[in-house]
Amino acid sequence: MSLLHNLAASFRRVFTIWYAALAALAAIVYYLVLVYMIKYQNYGIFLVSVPKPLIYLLAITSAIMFAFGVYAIRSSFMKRAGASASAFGTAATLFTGIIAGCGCSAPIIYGIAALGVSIAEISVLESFIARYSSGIIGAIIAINALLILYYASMVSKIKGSRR
Amino acid sequence: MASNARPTGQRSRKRGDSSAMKILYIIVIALIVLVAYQAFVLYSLSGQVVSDHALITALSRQLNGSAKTNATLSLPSYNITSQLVSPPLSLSGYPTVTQNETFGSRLTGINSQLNASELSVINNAPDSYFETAGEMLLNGSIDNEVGIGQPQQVNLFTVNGKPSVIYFGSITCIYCGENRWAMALALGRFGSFGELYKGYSSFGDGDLPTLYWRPDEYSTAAVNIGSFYNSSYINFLPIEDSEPVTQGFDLQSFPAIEQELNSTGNLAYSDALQYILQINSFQGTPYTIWGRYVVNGADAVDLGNSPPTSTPFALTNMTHAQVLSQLASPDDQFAWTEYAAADIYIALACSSINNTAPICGIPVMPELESKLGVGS
Repeated sequence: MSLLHNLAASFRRVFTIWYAALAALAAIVYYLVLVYMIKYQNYGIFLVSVPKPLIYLLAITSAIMFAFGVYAIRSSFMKRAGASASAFGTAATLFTGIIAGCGCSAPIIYGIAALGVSIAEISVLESFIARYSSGIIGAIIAINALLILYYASMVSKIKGSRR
Repeated sequence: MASNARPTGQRSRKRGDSSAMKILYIIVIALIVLVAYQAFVLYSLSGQVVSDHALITALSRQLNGSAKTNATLSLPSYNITSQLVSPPLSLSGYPTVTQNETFGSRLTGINSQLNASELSVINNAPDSYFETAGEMLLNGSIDNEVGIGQPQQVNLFTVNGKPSVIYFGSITCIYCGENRWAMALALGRFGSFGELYKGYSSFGDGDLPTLYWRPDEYSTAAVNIGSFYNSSYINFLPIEDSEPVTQGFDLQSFPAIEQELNSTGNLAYSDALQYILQINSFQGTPYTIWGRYVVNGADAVDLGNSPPTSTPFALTNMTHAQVLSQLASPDDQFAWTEYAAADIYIALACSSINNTAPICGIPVMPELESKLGVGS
């Protein structure tokens, strides 16, 4: 109960009106980035290879991470943690964009060929992604959620006024 | 005075915080501008949903096409003698599904042969339809996206003295499903199909009604090769990755497919896959080589009468009979797009066989070849 109470307090402390707005804006931006990457790989069609709720969840959790990141950067005690939180959320979004849009057409993944990797080798990666994309994205969301809990617990340890 | 003074460390920390926030705000604003710009690009072209990729591949090519074809890759030439595969007429473990099922998750009629009149729609499509569609493509009256970008030029893959059309696809793939109609129409102008089969793309990839080149192992992972196509001008070498169509898109890796092909002992198909790997330009399915020209991906996005914006697609809710009826008497954008997409393939094949087939003589073909940068 105490842990839950602390986490709830952390969320209340971080998500003032401005941080809530920032998180909402970040969620929209992350979602648009995902949509763009998926459309880019599918002839302009939003054709996802995973259940759409996973896309929404990923955008939301990454946005919460981003808000925590900004809060942490503004907090003199957590600058480094904040930078890594926002960077991880963004990286997770970009990675998910590649995976969720990787269907019949996969120009981003096969773009690795420009680095000298053979098509046969890339096809192993594509085959893996095609088969396990939902699981991979689910794992990313789970990592996001765990990191959110981690940052929330860090915030709960900060003493002082709201930022 | 004393109460207003702050320790130096606290002031510099404050400055640091402020700078970090400024950087973050700049990043956020830059992201918003980037996304807004991309959204503008996506939606600005004639109100169609067209990606950057499509912008590059389709419109610039078809409407302003003046680019020259790439130089031929320095790949080994294949000129081999090999028996082509004669596939079975049916597969006992993969029966035709007879019951009517719901659009979007149906297998109705899968693996059933096209009857004579249905087959005739593909084998005997009038040249006039290809001419009309080609003219529509050139004058911009095809609403759907049609185009292939700059075709990559390769050496002919010659089997038994004839150049080949090589196809690599997956039965679960939405664009392969949509693209097979155009491919069949195009191939039908150079020869004929003894048999074609009804099929679908996977439930997770549109459940589109499509054609299978042969009965397919639609519920397991396998590699299916061969077709009932016969032509005096070209060979048709289809390599189809089969996966359960009741799920989503799936594709075995090239090494796995290579292993399966090698186990068949068929030189033409094993070498065809080797050729694809040597070309090293694969970016997804479908992947076709029409004589001297590589087409990376589908040459059209034809999922209904207008460019698709969201699922379910119009084609998802069509039966094979409806598609064939439209192709038999085209009077909508869907059907004309299929013929226009077929025209592109025909132009590439014609250029590869020195325009010796009768279809190469229709008036629109030289202009199409010229627009594609493959004319003689």
